[in-house]
Amino acid sequence: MSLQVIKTLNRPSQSLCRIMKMSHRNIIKLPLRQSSNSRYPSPKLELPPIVLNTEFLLNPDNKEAIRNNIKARLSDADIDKIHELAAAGNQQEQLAAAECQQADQQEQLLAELVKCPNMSHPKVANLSEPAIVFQRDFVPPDHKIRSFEEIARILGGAKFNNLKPFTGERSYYLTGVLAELEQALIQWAVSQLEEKGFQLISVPDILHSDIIRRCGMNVDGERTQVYRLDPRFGDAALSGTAEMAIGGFLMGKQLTDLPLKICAVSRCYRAEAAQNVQDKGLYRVHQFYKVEMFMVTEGKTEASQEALHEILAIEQQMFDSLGLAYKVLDMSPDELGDPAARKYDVEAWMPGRNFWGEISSCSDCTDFQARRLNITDSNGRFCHTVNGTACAVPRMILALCEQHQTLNGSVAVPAPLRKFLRGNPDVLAGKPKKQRATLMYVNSANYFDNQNVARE
Amino acid sequence: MLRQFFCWRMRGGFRRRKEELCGLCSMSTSSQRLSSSRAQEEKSPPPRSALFISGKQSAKTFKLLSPDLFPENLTRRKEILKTVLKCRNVSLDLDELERDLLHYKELKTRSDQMRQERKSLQEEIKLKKKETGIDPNVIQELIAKESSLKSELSALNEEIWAIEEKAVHNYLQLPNCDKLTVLEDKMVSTIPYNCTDSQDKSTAAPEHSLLTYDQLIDRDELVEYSANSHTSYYLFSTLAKLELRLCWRIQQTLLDEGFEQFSNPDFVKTIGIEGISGDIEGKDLLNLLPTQDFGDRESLNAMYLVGGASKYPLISYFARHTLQNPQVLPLNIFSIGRQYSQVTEENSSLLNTQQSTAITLLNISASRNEMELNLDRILNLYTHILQDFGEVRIIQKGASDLDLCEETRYVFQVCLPVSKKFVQVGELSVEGDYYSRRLMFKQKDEQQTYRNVWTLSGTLLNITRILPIVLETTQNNPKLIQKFYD
Repeated sequence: MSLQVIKTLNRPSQSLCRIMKMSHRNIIKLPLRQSSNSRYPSPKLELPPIVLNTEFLLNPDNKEAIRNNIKARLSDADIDKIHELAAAGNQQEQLAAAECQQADQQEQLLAELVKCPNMSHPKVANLSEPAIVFQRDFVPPDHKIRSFEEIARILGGAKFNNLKPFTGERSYYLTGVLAELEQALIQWAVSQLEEKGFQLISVPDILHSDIIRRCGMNVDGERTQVYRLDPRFGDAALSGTAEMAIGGFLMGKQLTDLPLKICAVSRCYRAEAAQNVQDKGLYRVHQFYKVEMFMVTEGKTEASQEALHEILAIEQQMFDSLGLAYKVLDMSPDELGDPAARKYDVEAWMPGRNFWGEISSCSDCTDFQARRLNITDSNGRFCHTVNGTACAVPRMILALCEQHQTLNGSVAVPAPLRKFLRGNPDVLAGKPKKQRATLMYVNSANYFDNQNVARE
Repeated sequence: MLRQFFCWRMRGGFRRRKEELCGLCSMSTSSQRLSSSRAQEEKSPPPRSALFISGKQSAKTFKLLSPDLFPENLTRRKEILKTVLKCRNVSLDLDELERDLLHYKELKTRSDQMRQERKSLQEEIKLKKKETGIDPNVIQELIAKESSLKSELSALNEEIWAIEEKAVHNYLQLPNCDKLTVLEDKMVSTIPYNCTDSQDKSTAAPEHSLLTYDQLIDRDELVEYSANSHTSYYLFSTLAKLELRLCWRIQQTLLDEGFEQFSNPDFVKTIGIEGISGDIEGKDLLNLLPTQDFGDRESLNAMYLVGGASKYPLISYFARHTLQNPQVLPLNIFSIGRQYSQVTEENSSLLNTQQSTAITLLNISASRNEMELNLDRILNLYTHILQDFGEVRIIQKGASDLDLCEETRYVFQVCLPVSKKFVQVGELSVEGDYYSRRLMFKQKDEQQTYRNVWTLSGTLLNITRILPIVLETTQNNPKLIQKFYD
């Protein structure tokens, strides 16, 4: 299936201060942001207007439902303030207030409107905690269970210690068979998705921060998970998931032949803080590979829900084929974030850590992203977007190694992965110890002062 | 005698900073203490470094590394250094530098002796104070002696610090030239395209109808260049699949050759950048906005986005490590991943992008001889892999184009047959024992002596750049592209 996309015509540039009519039926548009004035080349990014569903958001009949949704989502949006600003704006319009006054009023309103999270799907709106919809329990082996760190040491396959001064917090190296496993997982995941009709695209890891914002991620402030480049390189941020780059790709496009199914492998960057003791090692890292699924459907709830369940089914099929013990959770509103109307998380049992760790997630974002990125169908209606993780590589490695560990610390390789590893191995074992480099960390910068050092 | 204060141009330019001192070294304090002749020199701020922390800075700054400061290394290479510095238009008195380093070593030895003496005196004073019936004058004498030693040590330290801020920094900024260095670019060889399909010439498309890669990309809608970031691009199915497939194919080749695969972090801090390339400012690199974990470039604790397939994280893995079993050498390692670098031109082309997918190699050898043997082997490996894509040209770069860490560098260019130009898709640097000397990475031999290791490293293949070449070379002949999927 070829990618059928019709690009929209170039939009005329918009002035920064313009009068906009305030009514429930009208489209409200945010002003364009000017590109930064940096000497390093910085492309002029033309962002489409954000077209929110004001008919719904400003309707007093919906106020209570929206307020409840905001509260359930732990969002800091304020529907009462929104309605006050809308009313004040109408008043100004009636009093024929100055153009710029109205524009200021509108900007304030828009700034509040964009904070509103997506409405939760009715099936999850009343959940107080995630609901387990599927669970396959782990059958422990007869032997002692090792943690991933111990398995990695036996395989000679990873390094986590003494890295911070050179490569930063939470950095890691995968070496030997675990590095090969990383590549094998990527190749396998892509091959699976291609069989399921997903088209592979290769995406950028560096994006304008406005694209990331429009996908629903917070880019600013202390709690942001987004890394940014030095401002001398313009407004550039590191993508936390291929979803953002794909969203950027689809921005301003009209799509035919829906549903559209895209997959991408990307390097993901997240400045996530550690939250508890399970976050050590490979579980929570700042840089990792991920294979992502992204679907665009007609702008109908049934269509995006169908896509969500299709993606979930694919995820489950993939984890089943790897023989993993996992559970699927239908997430409660407080876990959805802003963009998702509904989300399923998949958690794999990690016996070395003795807890269920998230390895995948899929979200139905309905028209939340499409309205912000102006993704429409051939009739000009906003599409729905759905995304899901086919393979978050570090946690997949963690789950595979801990669940499929053998008595001596090697790892049984699930059949589907074997052909992607050299020699089609059924067991992952490291190099013989005699062939491995034994490296000792030097504890002091002055260590060699008191040693015999050849003066070469 | 006034010492000449100099600056030199490195490849791509190195600008001496005029603005504020780093908070670690106080200019005003130095100028008060030093003689007037030195005071004039010291008006310029001292050089900054994350790699080398001077004695003066060590009270406030944690010292992570102690690079080797062996004058013998300079003495041995003095002649080639003089030639290369002249070639690079750098004026530096190497004889003076050599003398300063030798003097520095003498001062350090004396300083260590004096510290030892002082320590012994302090212990003696302690013991004497505990003795009963001791003459107080004896203790006073010892205290006076210790105090005098302390003053002498302080003055000695000032002298040492002055050399550290000048000569040591100059030494650490010397180019790594040695016997393999050539002064001018040199064509090493040209290798023909290893075309696996001898297409019947009568069916081959006439040359004038062949399209350039840009035209092919436009015609078949293979790439979308985007304003989402500088030089960003989206590869669609054909090229996206080819990109992934080439990663797998070359991975298998390298594993068959006995290489070990690494997957590396994409970030490296200033100390890694400076230790590996000698460039404290990361002039070709992208640095991140500070967070709570790292600072800006001024702080010398910046974080650079280099990519896991860059040599920086690969070599940083070994920094401050000793190899306990050198019989495993040579080590041959490779990584597949991203490379990120600055692109100062405005363009839409796969040949010049901030982000690339690439494969990088590192060879670690036990000796210079072993390194040179491996050099031949790895050059052949490059040729073997690259000739599958097109005609290959290997050029050895002249001294003025080398990074500080490079004794020499071979660049690999593959021909774009329709666009009629050669594109650099790989390079291999001979670094010798440069990293060993700077990053405290050594091998421990059977006599418990620490020796340097010798390295070669470089990009085996920039996959993003090879894609246009594959497009041009294989157009109108699907069999040629099929081999990459076999």
